[in-house]
Amino acid sequence: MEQFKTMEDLREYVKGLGKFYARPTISGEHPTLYLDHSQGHMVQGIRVKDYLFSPCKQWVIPHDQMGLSFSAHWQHLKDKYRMKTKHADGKAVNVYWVLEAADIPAGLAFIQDKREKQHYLLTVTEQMTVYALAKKLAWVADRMSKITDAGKAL
Amino acid sequence: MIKYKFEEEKDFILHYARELDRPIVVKVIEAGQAVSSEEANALAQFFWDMVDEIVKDKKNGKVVAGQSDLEAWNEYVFESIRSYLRNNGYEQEWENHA
Repeated sequence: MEQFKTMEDLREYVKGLGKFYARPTISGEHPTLYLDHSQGHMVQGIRVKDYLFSPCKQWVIPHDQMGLSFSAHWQHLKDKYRMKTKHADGKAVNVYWVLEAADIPAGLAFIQDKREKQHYLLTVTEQMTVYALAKKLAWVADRMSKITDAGKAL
Repeated sequence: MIKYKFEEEKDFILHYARELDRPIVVKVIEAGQAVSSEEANALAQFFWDMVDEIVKDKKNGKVVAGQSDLEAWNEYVFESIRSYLRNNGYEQEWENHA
């Protein structure tokens, strides 16, 4: 299992990945779905404000600036990691990542945030049910690699 | 200008700027931009102080500016403030506090 103890370890690790999309994730939480019900209005583990939902909340509609948030650069990951750590209440914060070249399910695409080139959104490119999106996000999570925060995990 | 993803972010930030007594930040948010390095530094410093307050409020189950999912709103305002500073000539000011 890959581990890091310091931010310098993490920086070195990330440097060796090439182009990546990453999410710092508090230990025990899911990397792509919100299952703890403390993140506002959610449907099937998806935060309603992250995607463009139909009024009935059964469908997700394509939008190139709405989607799950990912860091695509070390600097963004470092800042997001720091923020996540403050919310972690002493728990470890691990980093899940996927390479830019990796396959992702049809109907999903990583799109750059128009406001910030280091930030990407995992958007939907075709209308789909919320159930289908949740399944696809779970599929992505299953294929993400993980580097563990050994400083807190040990 | 600061580009928010959601209009509600502005009220969320203003709540904390007033709570933490940061008149410079209130001015920047109301104007939609920083006009000096001093203002940009104040905004960057404020952001991280605000995160600490959000964490406390989240633990206490507070509703802030009509929002109860404080961690999610923290993430949204992170992207707005960070991208504004980094892409409008204040990258160093952001890094000074990051």
